[in-house]
Amino acid sequence: MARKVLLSIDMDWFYRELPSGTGGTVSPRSS
Amino acid sequence: MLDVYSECDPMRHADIPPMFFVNALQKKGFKLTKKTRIGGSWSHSDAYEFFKDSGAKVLFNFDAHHDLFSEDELDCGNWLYHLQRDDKLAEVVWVVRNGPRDWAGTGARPGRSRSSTGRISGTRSSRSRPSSLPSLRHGRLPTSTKSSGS
Repeated sequence: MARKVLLSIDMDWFYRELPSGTGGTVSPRSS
Repeated sequence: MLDVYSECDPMRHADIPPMFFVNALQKKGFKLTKKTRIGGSWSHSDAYEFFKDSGAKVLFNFDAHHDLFSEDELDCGNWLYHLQRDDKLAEVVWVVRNGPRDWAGTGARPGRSRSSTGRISGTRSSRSRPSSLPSLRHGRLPTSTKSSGS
């Protein structure tokens, strides 16, 4: 029988981090 | 000048673009059905309440941040630490982005509070890149899952 697993997906995972000095990660929120 | 929209376009820069994400999970053995519970929130701190009574023991966290800071007051940077601390999970796989890790150079590490040193105990934790995400077999992780991040 299949076991239940949990998935947590933060939207920031889909966004690249901008080079340092440009404000860091641009995403819907910071963490 | 930086074109923020272009530079952040997930179709260009995401390891797995959002529209292909479910398909990529299914290829790895994750089974999503009409009965799969899905929750959404503005703050990741709400994940604690959503997950705490699920009964599941394995969690995959697709996140640019580890969310494992060790602090008592629940927030978006430590909700996963709280799940671990409260014995809700046996195994956590943090799926990091292919780019530089968010904590590189910041001094922040999983299990540390932002103000003082803490420790994670009890839960097996590992990191994975999208390309090395372990495949599930009947909802179980391979027993030899190892950290692939360094």
